[in-house]
Amino acid sequence: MEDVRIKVEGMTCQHCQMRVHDTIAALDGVTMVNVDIEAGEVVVSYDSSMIDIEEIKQAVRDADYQVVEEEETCPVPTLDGVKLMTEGIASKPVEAEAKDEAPRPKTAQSPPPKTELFPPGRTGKTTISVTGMTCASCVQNIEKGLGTLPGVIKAVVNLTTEKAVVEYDPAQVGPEQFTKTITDLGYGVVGESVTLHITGMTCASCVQNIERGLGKLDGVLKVSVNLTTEKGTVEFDPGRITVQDIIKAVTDIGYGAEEIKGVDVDREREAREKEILSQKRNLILALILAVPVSVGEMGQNIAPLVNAIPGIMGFLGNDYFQFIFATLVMLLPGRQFFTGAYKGLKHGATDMNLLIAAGTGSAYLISTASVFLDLGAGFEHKYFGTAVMLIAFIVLGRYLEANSRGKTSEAIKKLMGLQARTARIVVDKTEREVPIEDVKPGDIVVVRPGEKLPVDGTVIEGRSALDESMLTGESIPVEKNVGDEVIGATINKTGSFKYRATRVGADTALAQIIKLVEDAQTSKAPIQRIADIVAGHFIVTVMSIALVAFFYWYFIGFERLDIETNYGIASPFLAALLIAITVLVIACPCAVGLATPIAVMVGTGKGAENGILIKGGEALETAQKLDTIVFDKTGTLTRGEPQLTDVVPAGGVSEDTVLMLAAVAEKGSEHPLGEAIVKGAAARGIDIPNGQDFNAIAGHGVQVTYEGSRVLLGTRKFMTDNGMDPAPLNNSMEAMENDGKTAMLIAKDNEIMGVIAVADTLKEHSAEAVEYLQEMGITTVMITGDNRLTAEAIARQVGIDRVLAEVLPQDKAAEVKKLQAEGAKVAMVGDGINDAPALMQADIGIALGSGTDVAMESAQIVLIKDDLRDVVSSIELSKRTMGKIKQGLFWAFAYNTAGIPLALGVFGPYLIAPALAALFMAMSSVSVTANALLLKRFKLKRQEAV
Amino acid sequence: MIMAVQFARTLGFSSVTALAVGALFYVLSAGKSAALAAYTVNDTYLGTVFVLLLALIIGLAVWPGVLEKKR
Repeated sequence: MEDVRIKVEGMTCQHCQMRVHDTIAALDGVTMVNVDIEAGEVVVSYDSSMIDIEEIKQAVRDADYQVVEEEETCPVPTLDGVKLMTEGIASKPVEAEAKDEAPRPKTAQSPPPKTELFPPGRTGKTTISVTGMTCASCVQNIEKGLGTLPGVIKAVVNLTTEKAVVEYDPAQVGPEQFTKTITDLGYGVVGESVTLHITGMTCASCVQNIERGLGKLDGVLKVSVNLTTEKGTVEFDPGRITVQDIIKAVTDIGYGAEEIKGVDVDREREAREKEILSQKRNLILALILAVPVSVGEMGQNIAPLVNAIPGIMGFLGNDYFQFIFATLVMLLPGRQFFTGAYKGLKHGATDMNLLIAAGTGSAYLISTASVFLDLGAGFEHKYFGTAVMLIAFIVLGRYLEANSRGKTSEAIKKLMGLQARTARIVVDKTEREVPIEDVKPGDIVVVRPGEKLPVDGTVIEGRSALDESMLTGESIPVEKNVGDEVIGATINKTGSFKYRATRVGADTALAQIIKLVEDAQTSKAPIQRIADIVAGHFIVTVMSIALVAFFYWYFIGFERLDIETNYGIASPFLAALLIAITVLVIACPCAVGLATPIAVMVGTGKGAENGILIKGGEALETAQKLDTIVFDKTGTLTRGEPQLTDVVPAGGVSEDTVLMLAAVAEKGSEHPLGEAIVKGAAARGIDIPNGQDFNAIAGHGVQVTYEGSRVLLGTRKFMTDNGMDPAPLNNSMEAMENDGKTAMLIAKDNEIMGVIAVADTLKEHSAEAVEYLQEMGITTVMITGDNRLTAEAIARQVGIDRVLAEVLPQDKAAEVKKLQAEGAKVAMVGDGINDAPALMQADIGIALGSGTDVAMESAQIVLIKDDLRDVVSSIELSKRTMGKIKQGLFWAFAYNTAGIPLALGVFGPYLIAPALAALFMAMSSVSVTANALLLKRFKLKRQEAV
Repeated sequence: MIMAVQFARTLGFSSVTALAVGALFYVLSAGKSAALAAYTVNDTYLGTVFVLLLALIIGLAVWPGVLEKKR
């Protein structure tokens, strides 16, 4: 018996996983198969006397998957030169300090085994806005459709954001095929839009020329050129034409054109609003037409209610009237279900449209047949009312759902709304108000009190306090002086100031946050994949159940329950048909497909509103499982710069004198300890005179002459070497050192004047955050390169459980790995480049927004505020979101679990009407969505408490 | 072209399946109709059509996956 691990390419979903599994398992001699889709690996145990490895590999190849020979497999990406970005595709060089650790990124987007074929940087990735998806089956259909295209590495479709993210090999496939595949499957694709700055236009004819010229191009969907603003907006199909082609076409006509880059979600919002409007129209139409038909069908049952209008029942109950109105419902609001089902079925794709079309179509057809044909006894009753009310209720569900989905993206909308529309820049020494798109890096921007900052930049003149709460959640305004960085979209509270624009358009912090949140909301939580698979298989299962139910009720149930007597339905066909229709309608799994993405959207959006950027569903799901949090010390728990902490005078001199002498000795020093002393003295208002003959003795201290006296500042040994006895101050020094501080003796003319200490101090909320985490039962660990004494002193102050001291930067990831090997689910919190490997190694990397770009790219959670309490908030948010996901899935499955037996008539004589089933089904989606939206009301308590 | 061929194959297999299930229903229903007055000829015909359609739809959804696996 042998075990072998085979690398397999091309597995994109659970279907692939099952297919590969089943293919290998079917081989004689194979005893065990384990397929890991994430790793792209298959572990096979087989009897080598019956089968050899090549036969197994061939079977995989025959199943249309590629086997990667060992030498072809891609090396695990390392930080040694090249670091994989969080997206797992793009790569860029990183000045990584760590050289010997090679942690493997553990996001869902971990590089697939195809990396050899699609090396980083050469793969393409495109996001397509898809319309017309209604349930998880649609997601499955599109993912499956795209996944079968050659060259597609991965296709992820999100029902809630209505986006498909496709990772592909541009040499084999492109967006054109994606668009075609999606539209062939019966869904819509929203074209891309580009805004151009067009120069050289002088009159309305120019506008006409450009619009006509661009309008003729293949792939251009819509052109709108504005002479006054010198802008043109072109909507196009990216599969058929590129922005470069459009720009070239404009220049060929004789005008200048360049792309204006910036954040634009108007198109998507328009598409969403269009969908809501369309469903609203459908709903109104369906209700107007369905109510009279339904009233007519109910006939004498509700006659007392409508007797006020003589003859009305006769009119409404007329077969031809019912037929005409029902036909209108089928052709107008109901058409979407039939066209959707047809398009899907053409490709073997099944979705909720099929269930609705089958259910309503059957009721409509049998009723129509009984109007025009003599079907005999039992067929007098028509079911037009049932068919139209089904349509009306389902359209109601779709309308409510479209509205709810719009609400989930409010976080993005809010972020978008923060952006200023115009900026006041200095041009030729005069201030000019220009559209924000016209601001370029290097422009001087003028901001007055109460105004919103248009772009990111650096203050060059003036000072003010800025309200950054919209990005960080921090309500206290932040002081800004010359040299400080400012962020676009924040509000200037007090003074006027000028700043130089550094990042504009899509490069601003706000634009990047929006992009990050959008990406996160498009990603899938692992739990969602399970839900998608279940929902994907559900439709066919339900159709089969309906068929079995039809057989049962036709041949057995009709007689056994005496339907004719109990329900007045004389035809066994009609009785069985109604039950089959009810099964089809009640079992629609749309709530199952909605539960996870809506909660992920709301959760990540809620985080973004509070300065917590969670990069996707997987991070959200993992964060709630954490049991150990490792904090980097310097810059994370502490401020990262030493501060003056103690001044202990000796020999009757004052504290200020001791500090003044120390400051004189360190004045002009660039050493962090020296700077801390000088800053400390200045903060106490001490005037610091200049010394002479400055002399630094490496590793010992400094010597300076002040007013003719020799002033020394340094270690015990430095003093001893200069003939002084530091023993009287030893106790004070040791106490300071035990607290992790750096203590220094100050002496004047061979007489020790006192001790001063500096230390890297804790950030304001570090201890509080650690305390909260411990209350949550999470083990806290501090990792630092400092010596154990200093490290333990800091750990004591902050209340940390465990200290990993004297750890070299390149060993941090290894330490995290050791903790993981102990069985811990570890989060690493850090801010520096040297933290990046550990951030990637950890189950969750949490980077502080004040840290380096590398750290933020390596992390799955970024805290915009420099506040460690947000670590607590992110875990709480993760728990809440996962709670909502689980509740949603539970209720969604519960609806179907309860609904199907009810529809099948398992509960004896209590049969449910098809229209009621439709209402039941519509409400399941709406209630699951509404429950997820409750997450928006969740308060991040840890912050509020303070 | 390839898609059209695949669809034609799927349709063929689905039709055969549907006909088989439909025939089963027809035979059983005809037997029932002969025995019980409540089961009319119309019930049998309409039931067969419904079963045919439903089985065809199920076939169209199931067969592509089956054929793909066999390929």
